[in-house]
Amino acid sequence: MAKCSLCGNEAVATIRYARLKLCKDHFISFIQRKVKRTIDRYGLIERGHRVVLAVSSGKDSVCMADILVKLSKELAYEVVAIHLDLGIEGYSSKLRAAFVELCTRLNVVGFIIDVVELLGGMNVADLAKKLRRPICSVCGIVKRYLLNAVAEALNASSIATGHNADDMVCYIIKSFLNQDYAYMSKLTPKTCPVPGAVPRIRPLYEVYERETLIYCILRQIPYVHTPCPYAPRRSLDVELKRALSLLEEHSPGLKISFLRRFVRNASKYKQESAVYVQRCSYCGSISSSSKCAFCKITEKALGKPMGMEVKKKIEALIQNRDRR
Amino acid sequence: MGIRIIFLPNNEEVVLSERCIRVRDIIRRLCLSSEECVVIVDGVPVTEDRIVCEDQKVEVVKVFSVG
Repeated sequence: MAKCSLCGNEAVATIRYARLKLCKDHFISFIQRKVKRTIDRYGLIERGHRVVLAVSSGKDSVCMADILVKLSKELAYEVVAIHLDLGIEGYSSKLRAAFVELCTRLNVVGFIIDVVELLGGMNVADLAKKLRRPICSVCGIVKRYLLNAVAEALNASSIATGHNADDMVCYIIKSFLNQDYAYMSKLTPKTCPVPGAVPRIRPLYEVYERETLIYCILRQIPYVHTPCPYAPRRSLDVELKRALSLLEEHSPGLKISFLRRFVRNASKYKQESAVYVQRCSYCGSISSSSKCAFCKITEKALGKPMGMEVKKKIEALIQNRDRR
Repeated sequence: MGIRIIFLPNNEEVVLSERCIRVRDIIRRLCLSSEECVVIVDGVPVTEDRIVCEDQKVEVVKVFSVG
């Protein structure tokens, strides 16, 4: 039986890069301290901030929510949890139920945004079918737009997402392979504040995906482990993550050192890829052209750009402030 | 009887012929790396040094396949 390096109790996890074996209690506090250090190191949250927790009910977002709620008292900021119900049959209902359970358990205000209701009875799969576009690309546009709209309506300082170290290394390498430096420059722990776009923060930037899973199991946090039914079975992301995990096994800590070096250099990529930011002529959201992606896809699929209407519906929902 | 291993999230099963085996050897036999999976014995994550026996519930979670 392996013993905890700190107390001698039975160890539940090995942290190779820190040369530690930790018991349940020490593992939980290790991850929580790691997130707090990330918040301090990159200045993610300040006293008095209102942080929107974007919770999909997967392991990473519930881990992020659990830790940020715990740290909110110590660091004096406010949290509001948001869940987007995408209306995927046989899947979204499980995520929604887990979100309600999480909010009750963490005693946090939670809002559920029903995408089908906002899009006049269409879910993201219907929308993608009508647009003849890959569902993940349409889903991404809808989620980004709605999260920003909710955060704006809540007057939030930032939107926290559950992206972990494995996700970030994978995205950076993928964007390098595609030579997409504009996207690459955004893959930092905090996106730059732009008027009209609420900054995104990634408090799990230095937490490995394996660690978020162990954290959720040990803390017994409700999460849905089945992946989205539309997620490709052998995606490039998973293959890249598997390959990188072999490198990590060979050189423990490789991903974290890579991410820290990347953050130091990220501003260089930004200068090379400056994009002129405009306002959408329909809804006023920031966009790289005169019409934002959300207004473009809703106009094509539903006959009219829905940005402004959706924003008004969200504002009404927030004003009612009925806790779900 | 052997050790029955359940993979998560897809619930596939594999039976190893051994009566007792070290977690490190399970991971090797399954051609996984220790960074891409978490082994859970009777509901609790364990380290690679742990020896598991056939009367225990062994689950292997493929980290990158979990939602």
